[in-house]
Amino acid sequence: MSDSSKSFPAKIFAFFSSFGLATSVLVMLLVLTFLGTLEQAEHGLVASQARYFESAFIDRIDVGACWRALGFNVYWNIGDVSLPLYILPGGYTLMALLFVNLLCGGIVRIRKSPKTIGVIISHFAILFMIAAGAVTHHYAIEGSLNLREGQTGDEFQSFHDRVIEIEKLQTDPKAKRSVLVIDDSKFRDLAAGKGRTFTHESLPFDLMITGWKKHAQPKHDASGSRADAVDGYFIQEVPQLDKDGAAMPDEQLASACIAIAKDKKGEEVHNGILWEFAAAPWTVTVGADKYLISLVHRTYKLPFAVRLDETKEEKHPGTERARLFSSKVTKITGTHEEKRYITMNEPVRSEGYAVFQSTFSSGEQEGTGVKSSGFMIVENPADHWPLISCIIVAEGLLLHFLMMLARFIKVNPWKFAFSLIAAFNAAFALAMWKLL
Amino acid sequence: MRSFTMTYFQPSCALLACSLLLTSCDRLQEREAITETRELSSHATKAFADIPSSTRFFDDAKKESQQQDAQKRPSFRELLTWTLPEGWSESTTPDPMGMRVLDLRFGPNQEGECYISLMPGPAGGLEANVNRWRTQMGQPPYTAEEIAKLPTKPFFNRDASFVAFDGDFKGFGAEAAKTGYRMLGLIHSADQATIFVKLTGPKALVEQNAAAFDAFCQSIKPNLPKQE
Repeated sequence: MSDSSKSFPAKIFAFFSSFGLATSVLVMLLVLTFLGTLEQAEHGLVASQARYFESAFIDRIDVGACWRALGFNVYWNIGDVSLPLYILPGGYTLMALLFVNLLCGGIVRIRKSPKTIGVIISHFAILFMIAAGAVTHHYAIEGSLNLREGQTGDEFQSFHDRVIEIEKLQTDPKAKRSVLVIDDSKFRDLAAGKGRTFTHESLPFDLMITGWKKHAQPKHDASGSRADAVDGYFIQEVPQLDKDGAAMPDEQLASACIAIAKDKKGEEVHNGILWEFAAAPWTVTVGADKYLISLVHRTYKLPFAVRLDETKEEKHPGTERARLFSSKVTKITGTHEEKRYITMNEPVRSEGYAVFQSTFSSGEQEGTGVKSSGFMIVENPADHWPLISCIIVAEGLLLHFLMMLARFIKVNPWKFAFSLIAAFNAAFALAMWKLL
Repeated sequence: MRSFTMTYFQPSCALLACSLLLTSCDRLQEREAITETRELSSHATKAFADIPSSTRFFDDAKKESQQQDAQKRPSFRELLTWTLPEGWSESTTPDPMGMRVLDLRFGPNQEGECYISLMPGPAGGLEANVNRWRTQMGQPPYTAEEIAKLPTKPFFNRDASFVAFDGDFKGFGAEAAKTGYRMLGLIHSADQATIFVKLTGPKALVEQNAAAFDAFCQSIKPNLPKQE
């Protein structure tokens, strides 16, 4: 049947299941990976990931940053050049296209025969891997929990998500504490000259946020001449590049903004600066009540508490280089306590959360002498899916290659392939059992 | 006949200009209700109110002037008075962390150790500090209920939590634990400052000096300026 005689749905299906589409998507993914990796040098990992790999369309390509990352500026400095685009699909769109393409071409359209069974299994596994990426992108959360020896914690802070929290100071120390939360998506567009007022029935004031800066530091207004100074301080924007010219990691950036609390009775206005790295919240006093307002990383609750019993650092013999950080912890769920051991590559997994050892402090620098551990906490419903899909891909391809080999050496392909796969799996299981 | 462009272009431009004008008028007028709340954990650290901006923003310039002020002020040591028990003496070697206001030794080989340290704020709280000491003695940490049941002793005109543990003591920076040790301690934690008195030594020696420890703790008083 010629192409022109096909119905419209058939043409659509042919397009989505074509090798041409698969090749184009893979080439574009290669280009995105290349550009994203180059831009990362100046824009940082999180910004590059968001622009190239998590977006539906790429808003712009910083040609100047890519040029400099390649070192071409030594020969010809093109300065700051960027291509404003909304035509190039981002990683999210490309992965969705690849999923549809593989489903149509690699599962539905592919010739079904004993010869292709291994390939079909592998295609299924790749679809599963793409689905794992989507689940991770939409539902995974990760952050950090820092504990001193003897301290217990059941909350962790996101690496990248920021919020403004408002807490009414309780007079009764045993009273339950709660905070009102404003997500950063609602205030990170509020540069100078733009403001938004946030309200809540329980608050005696309305809170306006304005003058948000992504990376800033409050500076003392020594001359007292600045119109934007609040309580003798103003927000000074600081470069997001480190001393080597590389982009600072997102978690090291400290955003700041101006907060204006207007008494609902219209009597008083309080101005303050909120800064991520501030040592304490900003206090607003209305009548006899005090409200603590802070700009912090978003906090997530764990379904269990972790108490750090002991932490230690092992060094490479004869050097000051750390070899291993490890922690003995107690996992507390209600009244049940369970002793667990965490090292850098050996997390504690429980109730969908993985707790990794990430940092260690002897307490000497802080002057406390109290050792502490930093744990990275990841909640990912698709935590093991990539491993499972990799194993299935390997099994599918092994089946395919062994059946091809069996036909070549003229033996029964099913018996040959399955007996060898069984032998490989048994050897793999034995090796894992011995290793673990 | 007017062209398509003329028909639609001019009204579109006017509409766009109006919408831009309205948007700029609304740049400070947007209002949004807060819809999200979060309950704080019982383990969350206590927040402090009315902290001045210079402290909140780690203002070095202010800190320098505060340090100059501090030089004019008496040290922590000068803020306290105490009476040394018989046979106790001050250590001649400086403590490695420089945290001790007073560092004492006792016992035939000076193996008994008692010191006072003072830290600003709650210093991590009672639970963290008691459990840090428990860990140093090779003991499992106390639960919150056990911490709440700790006995108290009058100290510094207030009640302080008293602890006594037996175990193998491994202090900060020590290579190996010292076996058969006993630790006595008093912690008074307040929002402004936390004061610690900690005594460690071989169990028999500590038991001999338990009464001296109590007497020493009772003798610690604020060094109030004399009325003229």
